[in-house]
Amino acid sequence: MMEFKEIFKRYPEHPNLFENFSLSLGAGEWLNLVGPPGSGKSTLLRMMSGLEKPTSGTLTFHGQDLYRLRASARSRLRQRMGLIFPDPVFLEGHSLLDNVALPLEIQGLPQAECLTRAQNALQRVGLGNQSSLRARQLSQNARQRLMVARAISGYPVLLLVDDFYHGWPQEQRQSLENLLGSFHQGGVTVVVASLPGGNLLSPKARTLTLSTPAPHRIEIDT
Amino acid sequence: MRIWFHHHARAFRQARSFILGQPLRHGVSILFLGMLIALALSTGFFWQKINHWVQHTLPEPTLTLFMTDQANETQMHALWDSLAANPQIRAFEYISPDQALDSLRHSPDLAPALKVLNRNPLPGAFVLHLRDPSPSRFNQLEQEFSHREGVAQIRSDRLWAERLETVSTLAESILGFCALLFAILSFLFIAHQAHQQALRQQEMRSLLNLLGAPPSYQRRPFAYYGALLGASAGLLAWAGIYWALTLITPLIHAFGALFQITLDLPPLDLRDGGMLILLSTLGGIFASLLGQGNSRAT
Repeated sequence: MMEFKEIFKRYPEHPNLFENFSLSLGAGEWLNLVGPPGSGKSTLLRMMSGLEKPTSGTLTFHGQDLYRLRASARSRLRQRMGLIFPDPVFLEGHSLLDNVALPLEIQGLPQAECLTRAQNALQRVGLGNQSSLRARQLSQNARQRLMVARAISGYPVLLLVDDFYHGWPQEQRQSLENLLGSFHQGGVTVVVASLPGGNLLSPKARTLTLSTPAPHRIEIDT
Repeated sequence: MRIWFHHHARAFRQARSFILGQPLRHGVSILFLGMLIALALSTGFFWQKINHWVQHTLPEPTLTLFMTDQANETQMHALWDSLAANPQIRAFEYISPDQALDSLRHSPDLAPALKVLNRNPLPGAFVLHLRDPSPSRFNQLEQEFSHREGVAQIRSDRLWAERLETVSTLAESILGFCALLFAILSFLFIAHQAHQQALRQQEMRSLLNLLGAPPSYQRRPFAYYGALLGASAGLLAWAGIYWALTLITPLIHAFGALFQITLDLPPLDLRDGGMLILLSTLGGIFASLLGQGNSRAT
């Protein structure tokens, strides 16, 4: 499904963040990305989502070189991904329903279907009865759940999760784990980036460990 | 198709919210932009009118063919026919020696001197009014008629025509430059507004980028934003010109009366006004797309 080939990623402050990095990700796979802060987990997720161009190398998604595509084609591929990143950004003055329906609307789905799907997604994260609230009225925890709802509403084929759920109550965390698990069982590829010992990491899945200082020593444990 | 309309309706609402979100700032911007467009338009529009008035108020340069004393009827008729057939001549008149003498007799300075003459010394003359009174046409016609039988001498207002043409070209260049400058300023002003708006919407654009919105989807609200600014400013410019003309029309009529001519400066009609709004809208769209493009989210 996704393949990294000889990827190099350099920043001025991290000149060798990724050096000759290669990785193959199969359809329906669950991949744990584990590493301390600054090890490049989020960069890797952003590269996967087409938001961060590698310095060199090729990254293919469904056989298409993600960074050789035109911006519009890359955007369309991103519509098939669900991104759950820290620091969620929303249309603050709009309702939760509008926020979750937005990616569906961008995809060009009919409005009635957008609203139905958005309502279902809100239901799945426990915000179904608050759909008319404004995004700005939500607590931090609820905002994160809203982002999850937005990410799953478009039935993605790839879910990219930057784990920030350490502070969540046990019940909600379990609910999110179950949600991701159900998507994975339905054939969705899931990549979870987390600190060592993160709650969302699947013990049965392949784990890619990133370490600092760069260049990375990458350990793959299956 | 409904989705396409839905996307455009959303973009339009978003553009409207850009403007309504900062009503004072945008009000002032539209006013300024309207003045720029009105100035650009007025310089071009008034130039055409003023050029027309100048041609009608200042003496028209002419070409005069003085005939020899010996010019006979046949030569006169042949010349008449060739003048009538010449497409470069708009009109011509023949002034006979008697008519020329009569007109001099009406002059209080010359009348006493003319009384002592025992014969009329004045030649007959053809006075030509050219369709295009440019110096090159004068040269061409001078050469064409100087060797005609019966023509003794040619007096040309070429120098006058040259001066008129130079002044006209100079004024045209200055006014054209001003009109172009105002039009470019209007364009850049909208581009700058869109750039500022795009910077304000950076977070929103990052969100849309994250959600897989293609660049066209992200650009669309800015196209509507430019269109709204351009159309409002165009409408304001039209109204401003109308108002200004209402004020100055009596003055123009009074000015024309001094030269016994009718000077008219009609306001823009519906077609011209519509064209103004269309062009300012299109200009607004292009300027806005250009302006937002320089602040695109990565």
